[in-house]
Amino acid sequence: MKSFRDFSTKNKLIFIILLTTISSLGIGFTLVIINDINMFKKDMISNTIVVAQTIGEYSVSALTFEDKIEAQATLQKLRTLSNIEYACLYDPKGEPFSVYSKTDIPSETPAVQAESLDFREGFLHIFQPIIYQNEKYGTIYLRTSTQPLQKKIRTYLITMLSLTTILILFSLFFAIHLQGFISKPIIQLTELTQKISKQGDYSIRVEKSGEDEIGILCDEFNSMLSQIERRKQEQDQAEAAIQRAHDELEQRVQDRTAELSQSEKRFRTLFENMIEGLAIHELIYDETNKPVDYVILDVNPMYQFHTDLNRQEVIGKKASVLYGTDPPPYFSVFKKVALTGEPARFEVYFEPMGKYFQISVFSPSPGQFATVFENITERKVAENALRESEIRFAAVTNSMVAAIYVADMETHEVLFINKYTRDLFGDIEGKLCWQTIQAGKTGPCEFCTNHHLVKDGEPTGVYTWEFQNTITGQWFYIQDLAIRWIDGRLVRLEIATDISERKEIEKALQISEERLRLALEATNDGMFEENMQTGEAYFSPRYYTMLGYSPNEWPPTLESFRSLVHPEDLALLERAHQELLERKRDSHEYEIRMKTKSGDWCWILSRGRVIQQTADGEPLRVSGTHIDITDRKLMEEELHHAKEAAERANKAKSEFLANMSHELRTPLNAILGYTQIFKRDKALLSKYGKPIDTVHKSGEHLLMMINDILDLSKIEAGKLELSETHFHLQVFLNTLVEMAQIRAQLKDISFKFDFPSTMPVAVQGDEKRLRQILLNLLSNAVKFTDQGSVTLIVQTKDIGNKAHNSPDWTFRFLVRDTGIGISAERLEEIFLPFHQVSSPILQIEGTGLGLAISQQLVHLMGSELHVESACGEGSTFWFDLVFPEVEGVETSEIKPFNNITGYRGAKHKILIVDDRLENRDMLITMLQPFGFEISIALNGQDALTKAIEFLPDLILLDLVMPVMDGFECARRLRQIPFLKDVIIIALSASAFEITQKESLVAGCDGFLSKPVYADELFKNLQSHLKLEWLYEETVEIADSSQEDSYVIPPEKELEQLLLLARKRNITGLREYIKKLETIDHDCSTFIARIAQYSQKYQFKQIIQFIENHRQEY
Amino acid sequence: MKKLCLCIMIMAASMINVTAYDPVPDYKIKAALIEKFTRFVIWPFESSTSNQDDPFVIALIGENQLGIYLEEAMAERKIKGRAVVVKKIENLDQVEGCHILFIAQSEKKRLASILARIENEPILTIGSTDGFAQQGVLINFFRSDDTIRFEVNISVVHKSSLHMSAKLLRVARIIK
Repeated sequence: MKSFRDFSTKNKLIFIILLTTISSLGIGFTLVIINDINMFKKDMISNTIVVAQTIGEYSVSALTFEDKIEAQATLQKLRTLSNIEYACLYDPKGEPFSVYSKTDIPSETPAVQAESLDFREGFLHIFQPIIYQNEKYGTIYLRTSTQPLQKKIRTYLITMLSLTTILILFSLFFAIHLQGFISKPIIQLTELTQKISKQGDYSIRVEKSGEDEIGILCDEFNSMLSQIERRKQEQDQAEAAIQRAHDELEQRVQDRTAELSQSEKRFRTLFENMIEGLAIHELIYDETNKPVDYVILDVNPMYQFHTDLNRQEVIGKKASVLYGTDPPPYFSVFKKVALTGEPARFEVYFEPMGKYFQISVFSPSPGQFATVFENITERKVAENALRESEIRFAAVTNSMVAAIYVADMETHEVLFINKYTRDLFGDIEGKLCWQTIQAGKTGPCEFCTNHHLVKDGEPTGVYTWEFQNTITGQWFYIQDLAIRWIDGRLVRLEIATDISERKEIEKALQISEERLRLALEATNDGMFEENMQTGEAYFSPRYYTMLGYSPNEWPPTLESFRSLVHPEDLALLERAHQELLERKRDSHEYEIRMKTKSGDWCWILSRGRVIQQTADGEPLRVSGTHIDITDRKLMEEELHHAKEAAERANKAKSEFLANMSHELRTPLNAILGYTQIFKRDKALLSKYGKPIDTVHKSGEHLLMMINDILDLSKIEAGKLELSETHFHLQVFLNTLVEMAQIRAQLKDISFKFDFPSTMPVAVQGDEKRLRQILLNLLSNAVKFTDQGSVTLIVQTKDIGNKAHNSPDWTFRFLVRDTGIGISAERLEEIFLPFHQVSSPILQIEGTGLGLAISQQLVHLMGSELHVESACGEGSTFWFDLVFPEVEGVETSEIKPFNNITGYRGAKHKILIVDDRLENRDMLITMLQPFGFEISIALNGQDALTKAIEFLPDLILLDLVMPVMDGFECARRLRQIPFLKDVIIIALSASAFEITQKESLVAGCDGFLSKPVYADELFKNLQSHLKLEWLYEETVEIADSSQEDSYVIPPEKELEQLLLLARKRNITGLREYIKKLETIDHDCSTFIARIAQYSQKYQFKQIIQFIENHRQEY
Repeated sequence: MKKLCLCIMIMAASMINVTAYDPVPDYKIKAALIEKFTRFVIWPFESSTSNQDDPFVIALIGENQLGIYLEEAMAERKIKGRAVVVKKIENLDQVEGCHILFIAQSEKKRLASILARIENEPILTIGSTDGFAQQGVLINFFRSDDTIRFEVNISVVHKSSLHMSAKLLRVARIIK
C-alpha cells in the first residue's frame, strides 16, 4: 500500500484539511450529544424519583392499614404517565403489597431492594423506601421505559451524520481549490528537475514565482545548476587523460601475458605429458585456522589414467568428498609437506585398482602441495612373487617329515637344511655334514661320498636305500641325488625319512596274518579274496571242501564262483558287487545259495570288505569269509511260517472280539432299552417291578462282562488309550461313595470313607478309567467281605511340588476290606487275567478280569497297583496317581429324567435310522410318549431320501448298516445344503473309541454307544435341541400337602444344614443328617425329607426346602 | 424464668379465650390499629413545650377485654415519644389527662353523657359499636367482609382540637 509519504503534495494537503475538519467536527458533536443525553437522563431520573416519592407518600395509610384497594387506587394514578411501565408497593417486610402494570402482560415482580436506581434492559429501575414521620412504611418500585432517551439518541446521530457529511463536502471543495497556491510551484520545480536529470542539460534555469520560501528555493537551485555545469566540464577533461593511461597499461599487460602464456605452455606440456600422475592441491582450514581438508587444484592426464577419475570431476573438489574419507587420504603427510615445505615419499597399495604407487609430495608454494605418483605395480608384483615363492618353498620343506639337507660334494659343507633337520641336529648350515649329521665320524662317510650320483659330470638319478641307526634303532629311508646348485656346481641332496613305525607295522602285520591264517583254519569258514578290477580271486582250501570239492578243483576266478551261485541269487550278488564298485559301501553281507558238488543247494553267508583301493580310490581287493548257514536257514524258515500263522490267528481273534462285541451289544440294546422303557411305566412297574429290574440288572451285568473282555483284549492289543478330561474331584468321589454304599448295604456290611481335608477342586485325568479301577476294587472288596466293613481312603501326598508352584498333586487311593483275604501264594497271580480268588464253595459272580484290567489301567496311568493281604485278615489295595490341578469345571446338577412327561415349545422331528427292527421300535417307544414326531429309515440310502422329505430337526443314525453305512450317510447329509445344519447323533454298538472319533469326523454332532441309556439320550436331546422338559407334578403336590406337619429342627441345626448344602458337601451333609436322625426324633420327617433330597444330590431343593420352613419358624 | 413466664402467659391467654365472648384476634387487631391511629392524629400538646415525662394515656371505659391487648401492644412502645399507660376507668372523673378514650359497647346508654363530658377535651374517642360514630365518637370500628375497618366522624373532627391527617381519612369511611 502506498504510504502517506508517497502521496503528492496536492493530495497531502487535501488529506490534512479533511482530517482536521472531520476530527474537530466529530469531537464537537460528540461532546454536545453526550452532554445533552446526560441531562436528559438526569431529568428522567429526577422525574421518576418525584413520582415514586409522591406515590409513596399517598400509599402510607394504605400500607399502614393494609388497605389493598386504596393502594391499588393510588397506583392506578400512574396510568397518566405513559413512561412508567410497572410499579410495585412492598410492605415493610419486603413482600409485594400492590402491583401496577401498564400493559396486561404479566410481569414478574422483582425482589425488594434498598434505595437504588439503574438503567438496564431498556428500563430505568427505581426502588424508593416509603418514609413517613421517620418511620419506614414500605418500599416502592418503579420501572420506567427509556424509549424517549433512545429516540433522542437516534435523532442526534442522524443530525450529526448529515451535518458532518455537508461540512466535509464543503471542506473538500475549498481544499481542492486552494491547495494550488502551495503545490503548483513545487510541481513546476519537480518537473524541471526531472527534465534536467533526464537530458543532462545543466544550462536550463528555473523561473521564479514569488518571494516566499519557494522563490528562495528557485534561486538556490539555479546557482547550484551553474556550479554543476562548471564541474562537469572539468571532469570531462580528466576522463580523457585517464583513458589514455589505461590504453597504455593494457598494451603492457598484453605483452606480459603473451610471455607468461609461453612459459605456461611449456609447463603445461610437461604437466600433461609426464609419465607420472601429478595433482596439485591446496589445504583447507577451519575457523580456528587448523587445516582440515584439501582441495584439488589441477591434475594431469596421467592422474586421470591412474585413478580413472575425470579431470572435470575432480578439480575444485574436496578430497574428503572425492575419496569419501574423513580425514582425506594421507592427510597427516600432506599437511606436513604443505606446511613445512619438506618433501616426502611413500609407497601405497590401492586395493580397488590392484595397483601399487610410489607417491612423492612436495610443496610448490606455502599451503599447497603437489603429489607425483608413479605406478610401481610391476616391480611390486615381481617382488611379492619372489617372496611368496620363498615362503612356499620354506613351507614345503619345513613341513616335510623327513630330514632334508644339501651338502657340497667336494667340501661336504652343509648348504641347506629344512626344519626337521634343524630340529634334529641344530643350526648346522656352513658346517661339515660328517661332523654334524653323522656325528662321531672321523672323515667323510659313505653318505658323503656316494659315487653313484654323478656320472660324466651329470646327475644320474635317485639312489635309495634303507638304513637303521644301530644306536637309536630308528629305520630311515634314504633318497640321495645330485642336483645343480644356484651357482651351477653339483651338490648332494639327501632326503631321510623315518620309517621306524612302518617297519613296526610290517612286522606286526606279518604276525597278525599268521594268526588269521591259523584262526581261519580252525573255524570251518571259507575265506576268499578277489580283485575287483581283474576278476582274479583266491579261495581258501576250506572254501572248496565246504561245497564238497577238493581244493582248487575249479579255477580261482570270479567267473567260476558265479557259475555255482543259484540263478535267483545272481541279481543279489550283482547288486552287492555294484554297490562296492560305486563306492556306496565298503563291505557286503548277503546270503546266497550255492551248488555243492553233489548237486544240492547250500546256503552261504558271504561277508566281505574292501581292503585295498586303487590309486584313484576304486575298490581293488575285497576279502571276506563264506559260512555255511544251511541249517540255520531251514530253522528260520520254519519259525517264519509259525509266526505268520500266529499273527493271523491273533488278528482273527481281535476281529472276532470286535464283531462279537458288536453282535452281543446289539441285542442288549433292545433288552436294556425296553427295560428302561418299562421302568418308566408305573402301572407295569407295580406289577412286574422285580422281574423287570432283574432283566435290566442281568442285561447290565452281561454288558459289564462284555466290556471287561473287550477292555482286556484292547489292553493286550495295546489299543487302549486314556482320554483325559477335566473333572470335579469331589463330585467324582461322592458318586463313587454313593455306588459303593448301595452295594455295601445290599450285603449288610458297613462302608466307610476318609477323604483329605484339602483337595484341588478339579483335576485333569481319565475320569472314566479311574472310576472303573476304583469301582472294580470297591465291588471286589464288597464281594469278598461278608462281615465288617469296606473303606475307601484317599490321601494327598505333599511331595514338595506345591513349593515349586507345580499344579501336580499326588493321590493315594486305598481300598481296604475285612474280607476273606488272599493267601501269600495266590497274591502273585491275582493280577493275571481269568483268575478269581475264591473257594469253590463260594458263589462269586464276575469274569475275574477286573483286577487284571485295573492293574493294566493303573500301568497305563504310569503307576502300579499294590496289594497287601493275609488269609482271613482282609486285603488292602492301593495305588498312587499324579493329577495336575486345573481350573474349576462346571458341575451341572444331574436332573433326573425319570419324571419327564414332555417338553415345552414346538414339536421336534426326529428321524431314526437303523437297519434292525427291534432297535428302531425300541427308540420309537422310548421317544414317542414325549411328543416327538418320528420317522424311520432302514439304511443310509433310505435315510437320505427320508431326510429330504421329512426335514427332521435331529437324526439318530446307526453306523453299521447294509447298503450305505452311517459314516457315508452323515457325509452325504452334510453336502445337502438345507440339511447341512441338521443335528446328527451317531449310535453304535462298536466298543472302540476310534468309531466315535470317525463319526464326528464324518459330520455327526454327538455319539451314543449301544445299548442306549435313556438318560444319556435325553441329555443329548436336551443339549442339542435346547429342550426344556416338563416334569410330573404329582410328587410336588404330595410334598406340599405334607409341609405343614413338619416339626422344624432348631435354628442352629438348620444353619449347619444350609451351610453344608450351599458348599455342596454331600458327605458332610449325610453325616450330619445321620447325627440328627439319632438325636432328634420329633423332626424325623423333616430330616427324612432332606435325606431324601441328599440321596439325589438335590442341593437346590434342600436349600429351598429349609429356607421355606425357616421363615415359618 | 422467661420460659416459665411465657408458659403462664399462654395459660392466661387460653383462660381468657375460654371466658371471653368476643373473638380474641379482633381485640389484637384493634389494639394494633389504635396504635396506628396515633401516628395520623396530632394532639395539641405536640405543638407546645409540654413535659416529655408525662405518659401518653389510653383510657378504657366499660366492660371490655381490649385493655389487656392494648397493654400487650403498647408494652415497650412509645407514642409521640412518651411512655404509654393503659388504664381502665369507672367514672368520667378519671378521664382527666387521657389522650385516647375507648368506649365499650356497654356504655352505649350513657354514650351521650360521656361525649358531652369530654366535648372540649383533646381526646380521641374510639368505639367499636355500630352507630357510635353517628353519635359523635371520632373513630368507630366496624366489620366489613370479615375485616375490621373503621369510620371517622369528620364533622366532630373539625369541631375537635385534634388534627387528623388526610392519610387516615383516605382509608376510613367518612361519616358527616
